[in-house]
Amino acid sequence: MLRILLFRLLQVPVVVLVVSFIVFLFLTASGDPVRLLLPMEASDADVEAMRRTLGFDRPFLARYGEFLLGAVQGDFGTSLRLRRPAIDVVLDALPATLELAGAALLLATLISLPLGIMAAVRRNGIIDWVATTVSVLGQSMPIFWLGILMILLFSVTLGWLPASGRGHWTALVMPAVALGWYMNALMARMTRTAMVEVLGQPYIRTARAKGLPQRRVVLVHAFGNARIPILTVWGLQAGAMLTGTVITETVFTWPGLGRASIYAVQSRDYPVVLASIALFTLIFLVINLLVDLLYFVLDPRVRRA
Amino acid sequence: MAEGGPLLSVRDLSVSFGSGAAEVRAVEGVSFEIGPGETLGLVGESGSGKSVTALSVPQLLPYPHARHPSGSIRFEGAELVGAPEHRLQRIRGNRIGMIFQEPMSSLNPVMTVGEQIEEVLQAHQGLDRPAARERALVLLRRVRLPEPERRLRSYPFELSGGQAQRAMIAVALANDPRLLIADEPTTALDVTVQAQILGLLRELREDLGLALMLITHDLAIVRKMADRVCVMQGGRIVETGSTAALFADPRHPYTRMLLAAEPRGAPVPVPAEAPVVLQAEGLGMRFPIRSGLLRRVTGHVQAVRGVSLSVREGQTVGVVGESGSGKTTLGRLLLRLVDGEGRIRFDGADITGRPRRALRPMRRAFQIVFQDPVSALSPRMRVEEIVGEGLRIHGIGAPGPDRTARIEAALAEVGIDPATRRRFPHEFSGGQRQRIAIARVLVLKPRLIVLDEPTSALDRSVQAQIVELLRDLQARHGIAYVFISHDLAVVRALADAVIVMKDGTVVESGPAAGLFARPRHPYTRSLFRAAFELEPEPADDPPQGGALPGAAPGPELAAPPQPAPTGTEGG
Amino acid sequence: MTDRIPARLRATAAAGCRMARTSALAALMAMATAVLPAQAQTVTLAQGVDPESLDPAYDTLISSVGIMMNIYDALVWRDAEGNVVPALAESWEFPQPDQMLIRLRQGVTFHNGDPFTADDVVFSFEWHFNPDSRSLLVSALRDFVASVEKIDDHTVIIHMPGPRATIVPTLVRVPILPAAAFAAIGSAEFGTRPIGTGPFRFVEWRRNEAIVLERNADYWRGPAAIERYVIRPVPEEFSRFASLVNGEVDIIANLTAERAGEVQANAALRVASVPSVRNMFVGLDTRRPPFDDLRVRQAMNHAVDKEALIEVILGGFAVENASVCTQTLFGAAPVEPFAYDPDRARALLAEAGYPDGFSVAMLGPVGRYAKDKELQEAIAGMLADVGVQITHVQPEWAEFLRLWREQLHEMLFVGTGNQVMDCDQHLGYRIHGPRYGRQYQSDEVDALIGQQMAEYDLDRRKAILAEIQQKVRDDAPWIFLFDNMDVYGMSARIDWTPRPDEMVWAYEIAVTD
Repeated sequence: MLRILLFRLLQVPVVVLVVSFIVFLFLTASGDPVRLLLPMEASDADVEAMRRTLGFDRPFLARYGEFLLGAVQGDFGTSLRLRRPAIDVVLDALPATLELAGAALLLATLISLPLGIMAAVRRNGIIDWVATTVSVLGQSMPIFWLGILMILLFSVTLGWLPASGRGHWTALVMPAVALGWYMNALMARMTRTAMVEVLGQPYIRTARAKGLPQRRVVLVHAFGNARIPILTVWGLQAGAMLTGTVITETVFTWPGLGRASIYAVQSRDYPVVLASIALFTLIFLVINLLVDLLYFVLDPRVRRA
Repeated sequence: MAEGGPLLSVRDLSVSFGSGAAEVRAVEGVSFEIGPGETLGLVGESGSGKSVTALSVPQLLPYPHARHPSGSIRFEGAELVGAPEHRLQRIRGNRIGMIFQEPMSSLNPVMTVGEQIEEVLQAHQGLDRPAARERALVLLRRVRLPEPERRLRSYPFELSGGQAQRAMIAVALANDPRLLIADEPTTALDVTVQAQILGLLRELREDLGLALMLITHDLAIVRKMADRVCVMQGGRIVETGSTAALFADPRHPYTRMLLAAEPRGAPVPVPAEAPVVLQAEGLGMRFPIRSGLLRRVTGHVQAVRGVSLSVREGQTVGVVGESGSGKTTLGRLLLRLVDGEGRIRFDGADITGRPRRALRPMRRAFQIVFQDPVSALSPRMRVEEIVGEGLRIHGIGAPGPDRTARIEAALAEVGIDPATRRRFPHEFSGGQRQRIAIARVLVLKPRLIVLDEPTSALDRSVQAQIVELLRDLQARHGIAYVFISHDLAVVRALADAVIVMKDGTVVESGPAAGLFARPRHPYTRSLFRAAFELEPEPADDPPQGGALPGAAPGPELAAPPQPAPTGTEGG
Repeated sequence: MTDRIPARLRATAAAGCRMARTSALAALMAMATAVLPAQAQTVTLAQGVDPESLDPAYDTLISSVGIMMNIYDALVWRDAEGNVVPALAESWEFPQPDQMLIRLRQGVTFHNGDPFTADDVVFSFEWHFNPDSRSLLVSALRDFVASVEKIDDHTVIIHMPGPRATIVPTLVRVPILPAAAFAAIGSAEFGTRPIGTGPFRFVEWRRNEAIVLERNADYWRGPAAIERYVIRPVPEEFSRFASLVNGEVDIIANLTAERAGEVQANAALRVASVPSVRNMFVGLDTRRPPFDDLRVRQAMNHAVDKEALIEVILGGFAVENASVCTQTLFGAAPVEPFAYDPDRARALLAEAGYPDGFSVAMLGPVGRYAKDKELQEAIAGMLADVGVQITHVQPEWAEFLRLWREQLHEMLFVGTGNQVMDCDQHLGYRIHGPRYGRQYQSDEVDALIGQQMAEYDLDRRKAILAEIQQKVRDDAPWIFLFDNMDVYGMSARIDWTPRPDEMVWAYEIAVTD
């Protein structure tokens, strides 16, 4: 276990290093942050002066090296746009993203698991049909499209939920559903598949032969085993959900990390881009670590290996 | 329940799966009774309907996909067919216990043994956790699981097959059932363990006055265990009677065929001047054990240690051992599918140090056939492609008619109609698939074939046919066999020489006739006794009989008497 | 919301909790009605982006400046029609052609209570020239302001590098900051909680969520009609629309043509539009073939059907204009547009030696202007009609700016805005001055531009500007397209007329009930 933990922790700097280099390279190669920053009437001399002020006149590797040196100490530099420490910019946006992703994760988990389990227990029944429909819809509707559809229905037509913003819990409903939608679909399908597989195992026959109530057979014996492969998908999806926040936060005007980072990319505010990527990476790895820990708790074969 | 009446009465029971055109009738008009304390053996080969019949009793078939078009099952006087689920739940695991073929997969892998016993106690007796735990401990002692306190906290994967089946029995017996249904309870176990488990069942049956419904394909087991026998074929009971009468005078041709299917015959003697095909000296194989933070190699498992053997042309060397004895690793070492220690000479040439690439041309001459014909044959390839693959790889014969002729000849030789060569493996039975697997190596005209448990997955009657085929091919082509098997009956019918393996080393070896007649090593003896006499064996599993102080066993769990030897029944 | 509920009502609500469910609901509804008049005084605007800073040196985006001008005043301001009016400067004169003497308004105080004096004016200008400010405006200011001299507490002189006829409207770009408070708060913090003399005081800024401003009761023009002004960044056009329909916001900026119809159809909403300061055009590189030939440039102008672009793609929200200057600007003169005449275009091309047309590349941004992609494609289609094949180069804005500087492409689709609302700034952007890409060169026009810069007489200056516009039109260095319109959607209860300078000045907003 300690090994896994150590491995995961060592992953953070390596991944950040590789990703940051690529991002750094890309951001340097396309677009000019200084030109973006200055108004149109700025003269070439003004541009050069700003370039020097920001240190853009120095060679690529020197700048990247300096970035790395700072990043190691948690200093990603100063946002070109906001002139605040880049790390502050992303940390300010983090709570909103965690709130959104957390709600989406909770929603997706709480809906998909019962749905998938019931679908597997009553195969070819009505619930199975519902689950199949949900997963087909969920996997074929892009977040953006779904978001617009929901806004149209619940905000514009019915006027039940706010179309944008953050603060009241009602504002969280639609973004969380949109963000969790795909994961819910995938998890429902995955849960069904895993449960169908497990329900065919000999130990389920044993459990029934023991005269246990159906509830216990399904929830304790079947789900107790099915949750291990489900957890794998859960972990992958929880990480993938971070990428979904970029779109969701834009559609629903959610003041989170996804929106902050996309805006930073557009304005070539590379310290903020790099800081948010580092943060995304960190969150991703924390989720992986969490999943590893859960394996440890849920699967005795891992625990005792 | 009427005093003195049968405990279980099955009348005119039929089972079908599916409906309409897809309906399959698995069991047809089966009737039998089991009295209190009686043991009924339900015998048949795979597909005979015996397991479906067994699962019908506690109504564990996948209803409504499965149906009972006719029949009644009365247990303790009450009808079970169509009984409401809540009533069945009160009977299952309580009045009727069940154990299954694969003890390992029949236990929930993520629950401890203790939890799995406790839950059945809690479900039916409403015991609280501590009481259930205490009772579970008593049960584990009752089934003679070593270190019961520790085993309560063990997970199934931490148990051996025999230990898992003991745990399974503890689960089945937790609530003092009147009937125990045992579906192939020992098939997946090694012979010595098999004997121990059967001994335990017999002992419990007598102590607890249990009725036992024993489902098996193994006539030897039935003969040892059952009071009465029902022989099933094609979903019907074709013959029924007391065990003694049935074995003495089988009436139905199928019963006779089953009895005749025990592997028979003896190997053809090999002339002393026959050249040595394969000679191996001091073969060994170690697997590293890694542990700690840096996964450093902290030790080794010696899978095979210092094994030497030689095989002559037309000779069969049997390699016998239980699971984990290293016999499969030995087979792989011999063919240099894995690299280990020791020297190997093939047709006099030392191939020990040769690089893999240099071995390739020689590969056609030494081949291997695996246990499971289902997974060994690619399901997406046609039979002719499977058989012809080796020809293509080794560039034998001209593509086209020449190769087709070779393929057809090989198929004909193993008894497969060459006209069926364009079919896929799933269109053939298990025995036919093993024949195809043999044809696949035969087409290369090999000098040596390593047969790794080639008959273990097959029914007895089919086994006998495969043994005949192998013997026939050997006589015709002078092929040398290394025959790896845990099945001593098959080895005895085929091998000229035998080596007995345990824990990676050879404990005894020599000519087959002498070794079978006078095994010298204690392990060999226990192995033979278990295989041919089915005696309970106190080898690595000492009985822990006697009342246990501190525990409060129920009356049925009172200290059992020591098992009496029953050596009078012949083997 | 709770903090604005009177104690009496809160007591009612608490009592309501003890009542049956229905009466509790009734109490809540009563409470809601009671609160409504207070809410009516809040007006919320949804626009595309959140400002980066509220320090005028940091952020020169027009959407950010629009917010700042509710908090700060400049020396001069513009009325709803775009005419320059006095603000913190009460009056001014030009003692020398390169000096502007300004008498400051007296009795004005900043939101923190500090009196407004000449020191604040001097500081507000000097801050841009201070390297610490890293002012983005400095390059624009440097051309107009050499130094600012305090004469007394209520008089300053602005020294210019030379005669600068457009110095007055340029002063709109320099909001006046409180010198003492700025020093006390520090430059880093000030931009996040600004203090000005403007009609609204700053309350809070939740980044990417909302900026909340509150009416300045002591405003020297008199208090604004509304109590609160909230600005919310809503980047997605559809979400802005939905928020408006839903009643979450009162005004939305950058309404698209498609959505405008829906807003118009909704009885609770209305659409308001105004010709803006932005002019769209397609630049032609006049220094190299094929656009070094006037006939080719004329042909290009005749080949594009501007009316179709405006009606079909922009839903009518644009005004055809063949002048270099947007028609809303001071000095803009109407010039005769090039008629849509593809036959004429083909004839001109043939005359110039391109009977079969030619192929060129057109650089244009995507996602920057309304319908930019569609417009570029439609223009290309029209040009293909006369034999000119267009290869599109359509990067996003940041990359566009970089490519623009490299001047690799013969054609350039872009627009120019105007912060001072004077024709001169457009000429600076597009012909004279440190513009992006000197693709058109006319000594005659350059001379005229220099002339009008020093001309303080408005009528004479207008005449020169008109001459310039006619000459540029005849030289056809661009495909002249149209002036954009700013389109707003708003609640019907909002009484407000959009301004041509792209700003929403909440002082002009009233609520009718």
